[in-house]
Amino acid sequence: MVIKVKNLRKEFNGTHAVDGISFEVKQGEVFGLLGPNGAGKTTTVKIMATMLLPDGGTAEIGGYDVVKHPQKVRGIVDVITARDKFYRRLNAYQNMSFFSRLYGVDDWKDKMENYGGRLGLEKEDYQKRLGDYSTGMRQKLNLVRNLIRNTPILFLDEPTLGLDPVSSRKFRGLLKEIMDREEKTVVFTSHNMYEVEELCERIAILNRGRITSVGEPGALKKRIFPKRLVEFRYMEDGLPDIDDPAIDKIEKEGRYIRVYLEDGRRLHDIIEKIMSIGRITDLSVKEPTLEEAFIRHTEDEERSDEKVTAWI
Amino acid sequence: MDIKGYFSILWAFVVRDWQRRWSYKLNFIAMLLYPIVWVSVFGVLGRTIDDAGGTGVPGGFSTFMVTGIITWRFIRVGFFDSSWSIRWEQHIGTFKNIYMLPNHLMVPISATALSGFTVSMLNFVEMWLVAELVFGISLNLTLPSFLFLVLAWLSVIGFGFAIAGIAILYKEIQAVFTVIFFSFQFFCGVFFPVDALPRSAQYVSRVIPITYALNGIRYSITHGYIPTTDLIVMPIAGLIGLAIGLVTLQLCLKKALKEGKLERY
Repeated sequence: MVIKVKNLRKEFNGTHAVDGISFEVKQGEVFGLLGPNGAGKTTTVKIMATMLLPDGGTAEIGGYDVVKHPQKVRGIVDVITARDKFYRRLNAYQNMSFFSRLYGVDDWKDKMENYGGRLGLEKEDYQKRLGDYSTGMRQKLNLVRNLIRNTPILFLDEPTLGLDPVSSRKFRGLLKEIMDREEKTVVFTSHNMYEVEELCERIAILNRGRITSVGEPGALKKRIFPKRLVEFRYMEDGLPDIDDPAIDKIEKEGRYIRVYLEDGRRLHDIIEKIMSIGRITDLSVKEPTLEEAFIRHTEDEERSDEKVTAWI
Repeated sequence: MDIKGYFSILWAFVVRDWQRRWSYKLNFIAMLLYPIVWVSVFGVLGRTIDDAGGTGVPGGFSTFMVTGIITWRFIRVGFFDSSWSIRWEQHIGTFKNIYMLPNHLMVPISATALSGFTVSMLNFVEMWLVAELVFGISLNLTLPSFLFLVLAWLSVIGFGFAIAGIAILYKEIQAVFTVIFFSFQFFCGVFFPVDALPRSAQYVSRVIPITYALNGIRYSITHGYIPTTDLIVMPIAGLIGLAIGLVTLQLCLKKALKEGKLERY
């Protein structure tokens, strides 16, 4: 295991930002940390990146303890956030020349043009001052900066925050390519479920400083949200009168009705009942998205304050 | 980390800082003119006092003032550059990238201080030339007196590191240190001899290394040698200052890491 986090704890002014979390990440794995605001994702990343001291527990990165050997950890780790900055008065070449000297990389210019080109940055862009860059361009250059440094372990803390959908997709595409090619070990935090689902091999759901679930995205969806969902358009006012013990919940949004089934095996019976109501169109059976699973899970957590559930 | 690696980092900071200064053209010109204006104002003031009968200061009051101003300007950068630089990096959001290097934070901080030294040197040469060419004040700068000047700079670097550490925790602390540092003008004999101060204030003067730095440099210029007391006090003060600076920086860094104040991203 390249990353071993055991019973990690961090408290700020009496609030448990991280409350005894444990997880492991294999070499070359892309691991996602998913959670609502204040769940402890950034705090966890900061501790793993040696930017914050834990109150308890341990975190080992590449075999080095983050408290005992922080410099060794920083030698193999880099962090990318959406809030990373450059020197606004310097152009991209000047900025990259500075950081490359710090990293001890000589052939930075070729790498910069190569990686930047694949992200859609043109050579003329490099002559511009960073103050004239858009958020998207700056974030692309931020990724290029990390690629030039080329650390084996990468922490991505909501890296696409503020990017438009097209830039975000390009960014993810390059990330995926790099992860596949260079076997980087990545810890990825995001609010964006699609990103997590697309990029991560395993994810941990954090809520109120605790990991409540760990698993593969697909398994996670099934585990958290084993229910099936039937959606249809209902032309009458109010909720349709469908009564069946297999139905967990019925929701209405505009003309659309969502029927959540507790037991997927009774799907056909329920569909027959719905069809018998009449004045319905556009009926479809849906798989829950990770987003729905996540929201449902977080709501459940807040209601029941359950203990940790872990599975593969 | 080897020496070559350190020099590469140092060079990176020097290049970056000069590129940044050059990007603000008017500020760059002001940076060059400011010391010339300063030395001119105090050169004229000193000469006026000399013409009016002087103050009995060896070498004349204009020499006394110009030497004080040049030394003051030189060591001031050492005192403030590290802390301003850290504060600035935190403010613009680049501190994280500096911190994430596989080196101790002392490496970039000391590189920043040395980068600031290049500004000190440029200002020093400007002021020295104006003093010589415009006011005819011969500063007789010898190698020992120059080395003593560098020693004076080193003696305040430690305090610079300490302020840098405190600045990580308390963002606006420079304002307090600016007041403290400028009070040294009063105690250390920048514009007037320490003997002119009330006796109680002179006790304060004696515990500030800048007093010895100014005295030693003035002596080396006017008498051609550095008094033994200053020669002994300065290296000791420098070492103590450096030790205090490093310990303070280390403690502040640990506290910042504990409280999450190192980098606010």
